[in-house]
Formats: sequence, C-alpha cells, structure tokens
Amino acid sequence: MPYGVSEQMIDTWSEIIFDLSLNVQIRRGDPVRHLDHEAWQAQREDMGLTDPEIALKLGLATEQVTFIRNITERRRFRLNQYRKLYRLGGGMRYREDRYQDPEEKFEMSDAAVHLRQAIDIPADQATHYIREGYWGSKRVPDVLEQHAQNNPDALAVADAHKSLTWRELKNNCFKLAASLQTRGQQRGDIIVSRQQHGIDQLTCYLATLICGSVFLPVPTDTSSAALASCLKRTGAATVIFDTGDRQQSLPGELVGLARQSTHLNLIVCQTSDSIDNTISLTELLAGNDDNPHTGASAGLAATDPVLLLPVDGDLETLAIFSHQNLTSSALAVVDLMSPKCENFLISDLDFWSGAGALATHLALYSGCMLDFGSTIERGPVLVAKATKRGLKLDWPTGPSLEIKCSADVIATLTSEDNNIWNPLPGVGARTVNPEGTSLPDGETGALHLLSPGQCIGYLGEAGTRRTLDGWSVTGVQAEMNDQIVRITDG
Amino acid sequence: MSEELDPEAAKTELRTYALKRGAARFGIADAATVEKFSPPGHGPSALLPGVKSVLSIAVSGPTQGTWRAPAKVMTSVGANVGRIYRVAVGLSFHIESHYGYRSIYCPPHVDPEFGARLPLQSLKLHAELAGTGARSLAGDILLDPEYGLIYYGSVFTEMPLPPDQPMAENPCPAPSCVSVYKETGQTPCQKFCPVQCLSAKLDDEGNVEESRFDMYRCAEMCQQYENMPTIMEKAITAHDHLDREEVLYGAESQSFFYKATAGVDTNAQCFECMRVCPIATQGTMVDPIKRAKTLRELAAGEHQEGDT
Repeated sequence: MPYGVSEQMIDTWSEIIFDLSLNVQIRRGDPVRHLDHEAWQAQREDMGLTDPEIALKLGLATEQVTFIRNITERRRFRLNQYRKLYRLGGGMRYREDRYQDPEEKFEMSDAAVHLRQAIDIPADQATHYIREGYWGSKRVPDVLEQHAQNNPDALAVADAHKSLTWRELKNNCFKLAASLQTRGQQRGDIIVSRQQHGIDQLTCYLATLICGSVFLPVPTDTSSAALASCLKRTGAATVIFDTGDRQQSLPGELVGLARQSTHLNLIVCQTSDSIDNTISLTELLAGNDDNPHTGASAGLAATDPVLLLPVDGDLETLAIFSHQNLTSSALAVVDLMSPKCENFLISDLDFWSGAGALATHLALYSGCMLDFGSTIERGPVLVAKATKRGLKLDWPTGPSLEIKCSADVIATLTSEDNNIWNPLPGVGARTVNPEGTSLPDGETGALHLLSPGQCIGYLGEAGTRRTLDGWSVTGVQAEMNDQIVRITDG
Repeated sequence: MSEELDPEAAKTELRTYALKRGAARFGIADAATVEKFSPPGHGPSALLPGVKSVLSIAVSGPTQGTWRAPAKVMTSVGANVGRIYRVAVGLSFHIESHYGYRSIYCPPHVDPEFGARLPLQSLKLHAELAGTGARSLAGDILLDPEYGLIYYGSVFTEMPLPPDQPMAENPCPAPSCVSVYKETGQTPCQKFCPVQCLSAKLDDEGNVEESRFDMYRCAEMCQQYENMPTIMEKAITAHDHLDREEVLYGAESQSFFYKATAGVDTNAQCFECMRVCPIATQGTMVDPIKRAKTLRELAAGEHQEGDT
C-alpha cells in the first residue's frame, strides 16, 4: 500500500485531486499581466494547485496526493492520440468530426476474427503469386466502379423483370452498402444470402464487398434448421432471404433467432415490404446515402476474405476466398476467352457453386452483360453451363471452353477437348501416388493443383481437401505429360 | 565592482549580451513580485535564496518552412530551444564574472519530487512579469505580438536590476480570431486542436472572460513521459501475443523508443494550435525571411530602435 493509499482512497480522492491540479487550468481575465494579485489569488484553485497545496486543502498527506494524482493521470492517459498528428500539416487541419482512429477501421466482431484466423496461405505461394502478378491490389468492387465510369449506360445485368446499367448497378450497390453500414454492418461480418441467383443477389453480393463484409450464398432449398445452424456456426451478422419458397414461417423464425443471438442483428427480406419485423431489401436500397465507408481509406484490402462457398451439402465446411482469388481466376479466363463488353453472358447457375461464382465474376471482369434470363434482344451470346468438372462456356462463333473449378478452387484448368486439360497461368499441377510422392510424366496418380484461385482457408474442417504443403486435392486420377493434364477416371 | 554599478547601464549591457547571443526578447522581473505570484516552494528563492532579479530571455520559433511542414515533421524540428541554453547559461556566467553577483540558470524541468507534470519553476510566469510574453488562449502558451511563438529561458541573480513591466496589451485573441469566435463559438486554436483541450468564453469586446486548458489532454500529444509505463502495462495485460507484440514493437512504440533512446525530444510535439494562430505565424518578426529584410532595413536606418 504505497503511502497508505488504498484503491478505495483513489476512488474517493482521484477526481477532486485531478481537478485541483494543473491538469485542468481555468483562467479568468489576465490577472498576472495586470499585476492583480487579489484576482490571481481568488482563482488559484481553478488555475491549478501544487500537490502540497492540494494536500493542505483536502487533509491528505502530500505524498498521498502526489501518488493519487500520478496514478490518476496515468489511468487517464490515452496512448493513441499522438497518431492524430500523422495526417496533419501541409494544409491539413484536424477536424474533430472527421477523424477516425486507424484502429477503428480494423475493429471486427469475434466471428470476423475467427474467420481471419482460419486463413492460412503458405508464404511461398503468396510470394510467388504476388511476384508473378497473379495477385494484386484490385478488389472486386473496383471493377464495378471502373465499368460505371467507363460504360455507365451499358447494360450490366438483366433478368426477366428488369435490367440495370453499370451506373444503376453501382448506385444500388453503394446505397445498399451505406444502408447496411448504417445498421451496424462492419468489415469482416458475414452476410448469409439465401436468395435466387439474380440481380438482387448480385447487388447484395457487391454491396457486401463494398462494406468490407463477407458474402455466404447458400442453396435456396436450405432448410430452416440448416440455415439456423449455419448462422450460429459462422456467427453471421446478417441474413438476406427471398420469400419465394414454401417456408412461410421462415421470417418469424429468423427474427426469433436474432433476438436470442449476440451476433445476428439484421434480417433482410427480399420483398418490397417488411414482413414479421424483418427489413425489406427494397427499403435498404431506397436509402439516400450512397457514400459508404469503403476502399483503401477504410482500410479494405485485396487480401480480405470476401466470399464463402459451401463445399459440402450441410454447410459444415466453407471455402474462404479473397478478392485476389476471385480477381486472378476471372482475369485468367477472361484473357483466354476475350469476351467483349457488348457480349451477353447467360447464366442460371447458382452463385453458391464454384461454377456459378466463376460465371458471375467472368461477367464482372469482362464487362459482359450478365443475363439471368431476360427477353432483351441479344448480340453474341456466351452461355455458361455447369458440368461435372466445373463450368462450360459455349461461344456461338468458336469452340466451347470448359474450366475446371469447384467450390474451393475457382478456375484451374481449361479444356477444349474432353479430358485433356491445360493449366491456367499460375496454376501448378502434379500427380502423386498414395504415399503422396510426386509421379513422373505418364504415370497415373491423384491430381493435385496449386492455384492463385484456390481458397485461402476453410471455415470448418478442411479434411483431406488440402495437403500439408498447400496443394488442393482434386479427388480425380490423372496423368501428366509436359504440364498437360489428362484426367483418366472419366 | 557592485558598488559602482549603474543598474540601467548594466541592464542595457545584459540586454545587448543576450540579443547578440541570439535572444529575440529580453526582460527583467522583480524577484519579489515573481515570488508573490508563485505557489509556495516554487518561487525564485527556492532556487537562489538571495535572488533579486529574474531575467527572462526568449528566442524565436521555427522557420517559415517548418510551419508549412507536415505535423509529424514538426514534431522533430518544430521546437527551437537550442539557443536558450547558449543565451541563458551564458548570461548566468556573464553576470557572475562581469558583475560579481551569484546567478543561476533556471532549469526548465519538472520538480522530481512530484512526477512529470509539476515544474520546478514557471518560466511563463517569469516571462509574463518581465514583459516578454502574454498568456494566449492556446494552452497558456505565451505570445509576443511581433515574434509570435517564442521559447523562454530564465536566469536568477542576486544582482538588483531595474524591472520591466508586463506587456501593456495582450496580442491574443487577434481580431481575426475574435471574428471566428463570434461566428463559430471557437477560435482557430480551439477548433483545430487534435485533442480538443482548449475552450474559452470571450466578451462582446473580444476580451477573454474565461479560458479553460485541459492540460492532461495536451499532454497526450506534447508530453510523452507516460508512454513508457503505459506501453509496459498494456503489454502485460494484452489479450494475446499479437496484441502484446503490437504494443511493444508496433510502429508507434518503435518511434517512441527511437526518440527516447536517440535523445530526440519527446515533449512539445504538437504545434496545431500555433499553426493556425495569426500571431504565431504572421507577426512582423515571425518569418525569418521577412525578419532578415527588416533587420537589413533597420541597419540602414529605416526603422526605429526597438522594432526588433
């Protein structure tokens, strides 16, 4: 007990000692300059007393005052203020209402932290992808902004009911993002989407990314119980669902779940009106604010996790993708296909599948209009179809292209001829025997792939999907010849 | 020697000595008056029992280029205190050797008995009474109407010298600041303070009715004495090893440790209130470039003595 001071004594005396000390100095007039000793004397307490003076006033020992004052100062001292100076000067002045502590940009929920902790990229792979240019600083929403700026009036997306230009799509996405942020959506928070693939889901996806959040599309036939389990397990902050299903009680059940949850706080219904205390997507899209906190100034980066895809039917394991994964995969295929912005890409593939996600990003990165079944008079049409190995693009004026992809590896190999596959740029392929030893050309073994489009981790058990050295286990048999892959098990 | 002392002549000689050595301002306060306005134990006699005079010297602030630099650059080159030691320490030796009176350079430091926020002496009080500065709204920083922000040193001596008077007028708040206050309720120094440690109430004539300075907030920017123990405590109580490593080895801690170990200033780090102060930045003698021109003109007889 230093100087006979207890914690209780600190509680009792700290505030008055602090106020009487030099820490708070209140001055009336200019008594010293006027040599007005009486006025000076009258405001001594307000101007700040020394420790012996405070001790005399309070009836404490001077050593006790000094100890309590120093401890109180130390407890009030904020270490994070000095950083405010870093962005000032050279014409920049401090504005109380504009300052954001850099740490605040990176505040994340427990679920977001948990998700980040599940990311595990071998250092040599990250270095390789960066040095070779497969991974960069581009974020998926950057493409949206780029198209909105360069081709604002070109059609971006259409379905049977409506169409949006790039400018309209961007505006909708930014409004939705701002509305979500206003309602507490933060970077790293997971948004679960149980929606039909279409304009609304695409808008929700892009708005999620603009917020810095993470999008998890799940099949529309996911049961209430499975959805609830998924929401709990992932710690999702928001769920967006459409009402075109048989489960009329779903809105009420989700609202009930949110009431009991410490993380789920936003239930969004894809309707024009709110039902059962949910918030309607239309209402969120109608917000006046189209200026969400986003981009580099908000601390968002291309390495951020952005998309979760279920790799099994019960949503137990989710593959985590970053902007870098999605960008590199899409650009590699776009380079191969050279689709143009006047083209249409027709896709009815579900977003939660690897093929559906790839098709969506191909449209985004190429600038094609993504067509979910519109009646618009079309120019040249690309048709995206799901195949056993992944995604097939049928091109009206040329050969089809099949792209091997899955829910945990977006785009690795391409094929124009059945089982003969070429690795996309940056993709490594090897065959191994049951002991895991690499096989020479011509020998059949298990096919492993290493790709910049490979997920950066798993939420849940990865199981045998990935080797210790980071290769993706495809589950198919193949033989290799001079980096050409021939899949041998059909 | 002291029996033949002409106090006015001695004062002039000491003033010339100080100005030649780099002082911008020189003033003398009566030690008894300073004692009267000092808290017990913190008057000049606590350092020099037979003190008769308190000499306050002031040196000018940074260059114009420095005022335009980013704040983080000003943290290392904004203060301009080096010349104080040369002038004030030299003055104390000069008085003893030339006039035979005991003198002491007043340490501008904290009283070690009470921690880091209670000074041994108030150099601002000395300057105020010696007429080398007046209290501003910006955290009681003293301002000079011509030199703006200046740095102070004091010398105590047993030599009796004719005292100067406090400034007749306080340059703060400047008319432009009063206008801003009337429009917004804040003067520029209050508005742009990064820790919002300043507030005041001005009357209709623009005089200060009451001003408040939350020194403990200003200390978070300007006095990094508490960084070390704060860093240590945060490291001990960190939730995990990454948080602990950030606290100990993060960029801010590293730069603090660099300053502490390399002997770079860890106090007077923030200039934001002064950067927007018209007196601090636009006084006739603030700008060393303009000042040189003025001094050349003075040498050519175009100004009256005392203009500097």
